[in-house]
Amino acid sequence: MNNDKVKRSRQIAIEVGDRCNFKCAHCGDGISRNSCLSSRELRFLSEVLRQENFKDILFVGGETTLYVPEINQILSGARGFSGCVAITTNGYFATSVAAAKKVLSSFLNLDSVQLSFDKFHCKFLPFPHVKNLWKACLDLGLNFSVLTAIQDPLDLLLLEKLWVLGGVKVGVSKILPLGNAKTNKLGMKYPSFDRGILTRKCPSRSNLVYLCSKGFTSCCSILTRNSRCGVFFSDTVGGFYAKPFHRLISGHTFGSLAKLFGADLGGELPEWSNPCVICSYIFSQPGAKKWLEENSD
Amino acid sequence: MTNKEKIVVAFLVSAGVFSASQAAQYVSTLSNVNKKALATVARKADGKMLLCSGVWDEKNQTPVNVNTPENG
Repeated sequence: MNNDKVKRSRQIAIEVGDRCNFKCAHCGDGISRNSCLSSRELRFLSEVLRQENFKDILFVGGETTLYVPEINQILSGARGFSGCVAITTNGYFATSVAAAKKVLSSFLNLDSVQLSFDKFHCKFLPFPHVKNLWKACLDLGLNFSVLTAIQDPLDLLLLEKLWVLGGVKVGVSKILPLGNAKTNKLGMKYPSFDRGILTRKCPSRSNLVYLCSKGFTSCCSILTRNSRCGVFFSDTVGGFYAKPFHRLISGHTFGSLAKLFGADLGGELPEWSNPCVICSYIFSQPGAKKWLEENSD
Repeated sequence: MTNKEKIVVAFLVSAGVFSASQAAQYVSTLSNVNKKALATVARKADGKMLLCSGVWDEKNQTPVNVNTPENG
């Protein structure tokens, strides 16, 4: 096995819950369970931030601004944490610059705001809200960036609206067949199978995510969204790095994983060009299921 | 391949949307109007677009939330 050095991430993403006031057709959460971090999890995450030397925290949802008290409880309990704090938001609250500043100022130690902006979110978010949020971030000295989910490259044409704001950083993500996106068949369309994927490893293998009520993992995608399988999660940061799952995905390319689990990739489906889609296919094979059983806690 | 097509292919590859061969295949299916529109976005994006994969972008330049619950 070609092992990567086990390197602890200095960045952590914390999923605070799945409550959201938008009902996007591509939402990976699907039907909300109205989930929220428990009091025990809030205290525990504060402790983790005190003990681990993280450089950045990203809070994700749901809609993070519906979880301000919970996020602040984590941050206020994490005395000594001096890294950057970022949130992802749908921007619903930015009805004016003042309204946006009020909500953003309610967070402790916020440094960055990432707005979800794409054709699906735009059905709920009037464009003036985007400008208000951008201006509020500018006034408050916060970094502002945009994340846009696409089903087809032509969806990027929507970004033309953003040029009026000047140099905004834009992240592009390809929609996964997950939650509502799967139900509504909105996954990213590929023209053909990219064989290059077989020589690549999981792009999220170095990430660290805490998923609400589940635990620490590196995967916040198809494998783990609807699974409580203990193989993928750990109650502690150190415990996750010691997991056979972490070692497996750190040490294997998708090609070697497929070989290991006897996954037949002869079909060369175009959607397998996406790392999360090919990974979920490989892990659905009998060889992988046996491995999961053998390695479950 | 025309210059406009080359610009769109390079853009789609640099934004991490497609591999080079996928991008070339995709561009060959586009109408001239759509090629022109994407070429304009490509010119204006000019390094401002980052590939997102996983929770943090690969260059660790900015926290980005990709493939997370809300699909962006």
